[in-house]
Amino acid sequence: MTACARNQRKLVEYLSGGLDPVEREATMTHLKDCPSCRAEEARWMKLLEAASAGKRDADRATAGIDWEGLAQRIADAAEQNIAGRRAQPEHRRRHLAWLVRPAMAYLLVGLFIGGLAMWAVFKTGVFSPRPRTGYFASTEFLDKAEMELARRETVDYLERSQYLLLDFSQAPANQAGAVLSAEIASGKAAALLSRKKFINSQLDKVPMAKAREICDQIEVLCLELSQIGGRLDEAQWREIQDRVRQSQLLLQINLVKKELQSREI
Amino acid sequence: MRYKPQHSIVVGILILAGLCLPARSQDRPEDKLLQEAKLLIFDAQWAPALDKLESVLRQYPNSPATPQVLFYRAECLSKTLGRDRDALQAYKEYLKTNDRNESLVEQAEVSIIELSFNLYNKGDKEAVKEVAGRLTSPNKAIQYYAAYKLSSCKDKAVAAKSIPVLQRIINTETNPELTDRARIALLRVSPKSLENVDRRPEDRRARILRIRISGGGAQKVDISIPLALADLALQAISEESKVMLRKKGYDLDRILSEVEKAGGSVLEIQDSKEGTAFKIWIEIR
Repeated sequence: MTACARNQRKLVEYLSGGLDPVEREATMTHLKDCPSCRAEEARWMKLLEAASAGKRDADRATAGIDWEGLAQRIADAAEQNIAGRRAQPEHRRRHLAWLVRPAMAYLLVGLFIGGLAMWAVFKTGVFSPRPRTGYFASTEFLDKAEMELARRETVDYLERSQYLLLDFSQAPANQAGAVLSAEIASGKAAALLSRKKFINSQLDKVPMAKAREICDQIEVLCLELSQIGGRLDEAQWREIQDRVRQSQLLLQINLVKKELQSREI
Repeated sequence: MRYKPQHSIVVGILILAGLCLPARSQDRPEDKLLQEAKLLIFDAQWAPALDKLESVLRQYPNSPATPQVLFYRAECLSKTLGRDRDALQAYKEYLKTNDRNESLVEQAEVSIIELSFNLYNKGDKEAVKEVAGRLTSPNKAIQYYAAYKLSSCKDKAVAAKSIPVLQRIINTETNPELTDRARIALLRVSPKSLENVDRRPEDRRARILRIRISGGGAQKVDISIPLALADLALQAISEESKVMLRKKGYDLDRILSEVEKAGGSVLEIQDSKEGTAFKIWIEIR
């Protein structure tokens, strides 16, 4: 190492006042004789001057800062930031992380299954259908057909009930006639009861609601008549006849029947 | 209570029916109570009727009227919401009495089928056994009713049990309402089974009615059914199609006669305004 190089290393210590008196004296003596070290000294002097100017600016800038208050504010802001991240962004990030990976897996599985399904569909020839053979009809159509059947059966049931009531309104000539008529009425009532069972399901549906009440009442009546057998005498028979005439049951039956008939093509 | 004019006659008949009972029964208080309960039933007052009938059972447990009281009690329970199981049990109690009244017995059996089917639909899988068990009833009405009910079962394996009875109805019954109903039921359960029944014995071929209704660029109806169901099928088409047919001057009889005349060719009725096309023809296979 040359003397200049050695002195240049000590130059910073010399300028910052860190050398002992002996070394300081030796460095000063060398600077007097060495122009290159003097030039180096001048560069360092400029640098140190600039550094001390920056320090002054920084001191001026930081002079108005409340360091104790700042620490508290930073701590508060940090807490708010953490709380906010817990409330939403953190949660969302965690939620998405939970979702994204399985979603990708499902997507891949879905693509695989979808591919298989498409293959199966094409293989069965759905897109080049063969004409259907044999009987077929949609469930909706069969429901409508059944409802139509029930409508007809209800009309028929009401008609037969009318005849049964009209039987009561026709006077038997004598006691024997009364017994015979009662027996016939009883048999007819039993037959009507059998018919009613098959229309019960359809009577529960809205388009048949009006018929339901009257059909149920006729059913109760038929249950009773089916138990009478031939036990009515002439006087009792006439009593029933009067009531048939006075009642409006036949009219009610007619009204419901006409309404049901009006639904035909 | 709402006034119902038709009640007067029923009240009269019910009271007279009561009077017609043998003389000794007229003195029995339970018979009077039973008649009162029947009048309540006619008025659809199930709760008070049930109370009355249960009080008769408590007060006169060994009365000759007990079978009837049990039957009407079951009727009341079957009409009370949420008491299907009690009603089922009540009908079974009535049947144990060996009452000889055929109408009431048949009614009770049919109600058991109905209630059991409801319970099955609500998830009680065992309940369907009550329905299936009645497919072999000696009473045809009960047997047929069980078959119709089973045919509407969503479980195709259970519904298939009804096939032999439904086929028997078509083969042996002459009442068109019974046979039409059986055909519709078979179309639901097993159209193939219906084809086998419907083939003509002379050439083993079936006459099939085809109906296609299209409109608005879409096929609205496409059916292939036995010709025997033709009039029923035509009545079951949508109101919109019925209106179109009426506008074109077609009624049920005209359509059917023209289809017969057309033989194998298609009878086509079109409404260019509405864009509806109605095609109907018969196929023999």
